[in-house]
Amino acid sequence: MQEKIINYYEQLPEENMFMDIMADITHKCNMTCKNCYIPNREIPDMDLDKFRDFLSRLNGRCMIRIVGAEPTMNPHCIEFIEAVFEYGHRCILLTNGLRLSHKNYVDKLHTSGLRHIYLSLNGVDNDDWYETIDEMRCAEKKIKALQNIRERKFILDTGTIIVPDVNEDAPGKLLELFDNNNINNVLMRIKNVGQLGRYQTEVDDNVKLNQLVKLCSEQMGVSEDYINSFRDQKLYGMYTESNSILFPLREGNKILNRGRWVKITNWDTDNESGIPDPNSQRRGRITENFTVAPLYEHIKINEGGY
Amino acid sequence: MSKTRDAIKKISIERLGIELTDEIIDSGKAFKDIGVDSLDAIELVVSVEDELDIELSDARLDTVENIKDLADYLSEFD
Repeated sequence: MQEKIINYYEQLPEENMFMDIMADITHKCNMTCKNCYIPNREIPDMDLDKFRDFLSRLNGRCMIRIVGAEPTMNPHCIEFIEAVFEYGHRCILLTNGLRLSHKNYVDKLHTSGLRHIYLSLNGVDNDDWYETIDEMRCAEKKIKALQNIRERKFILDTGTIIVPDVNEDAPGKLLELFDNNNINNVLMRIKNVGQLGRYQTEVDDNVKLNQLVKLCSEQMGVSEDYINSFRDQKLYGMYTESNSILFPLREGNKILNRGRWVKITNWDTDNESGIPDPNSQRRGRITENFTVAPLYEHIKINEGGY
Repeated sequence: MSKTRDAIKKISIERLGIELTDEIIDSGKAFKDIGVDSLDAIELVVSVEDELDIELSDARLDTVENIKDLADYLSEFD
C-alpha cells in the first residue's frame, strides 16, 4: 500500500537529475543513536571501484555527500573522498565526529582535498543529552572534533535533532559553544525527529516546524517574523525545499554565506507517503545497483536493508 | 605578478574546474555569470585563505559582490 503512494524511480548516472547525491559508503557505526534512518548494520561496504565508475559516468558536477552510518568506519573513506575530487565533483563528509577527535585523522581529511564537513551535535556539549539521544557520553570527543575542524579551517555544517523534553535548549547552547570556541562561520542545521528507520519520537509528540522556528527565535536573538520571511526562498539561490527555512543570524553578504546561518528542517512524516519532503528533486542516493534514486523514497522503501 | 591572483586562478581550475583569466576577473562579472555558484564561492574563499595562510575579514567579505571585488580585496595581501 505504502509503495503505491511513493513516487520511486532510479536513474543511470548519465541521466542523473539530482544536485546532491548521498553515497552511503558503509553501514557500520561506532554509535547506536536512537534516531537513525539507516539502522541496518548488515549491508556490506560500498565497492570503491564501482563508486569510481559511477562518478566517471555522472552527467555533470554534483555534490557527493559521503555518509554512512558512520563513513569514517570505512577503512577506505579517504580514498572515496579523493575519488570524488579526481572526477571533478564537490564533496562533503557527514560524520558523528568521534574519529575526528584525533587531529591526525583531520589532517588526512584535509590532505585528501576535503574542505567541507557536517558534524552531528545532537547533545551540543551536554553529556546527559548525548546519552539520552545518542546512547553515548561523547561531548568531550565532539568538542575536540569541533576544535580540530576549526583549526584546519574546514567549511562547517552542524546537525542537531531536537527531541521534545530533552534538548529544546540546543539552539542557544550551540551559539554558546561556538562563541567559546571562536567559530564564526557555520551552518547550524536544526531539525525535528524523522520517523524513518529507528527513532524515539512519534509524529504526534514531535516538535513541529513552527515550534522549531519559535525555539530558534527565542534562543538566537532573531524574531519569528524574520525567520519566517525566509520561507519558500530559494536555498543558496538554487532550489526550494518545502520543508526547510535557511536564514543568516546576521543580515550580511548573501553571496559568500559567511557568518552563522541556520537551516530549520521539518523531518516529520505526517503525510500519506510517510516520508519528509516527498518528490524532492534535490537529493538522490546511490542505490545497490549504482543508479540514483530519490533519497527519502529510497530510504523508506529500503528501511529493512538493500 | 600577484600571488593572490595566481592563487585564485590555481584554486578555480583545481577545485572548481573553472579557468579564470585576468580578463574574466577584471570584467567584474557576477560569480554566477562565470560559473561560480554560492557554494563554489565559499569554497574558493576558504581555499584561498588556506593556500595563502591568511584570514579574511567577514565584514570586508560582506562587500564582495563579484570575482573582481574578491581579487581586489585579496591584493591587499600581496
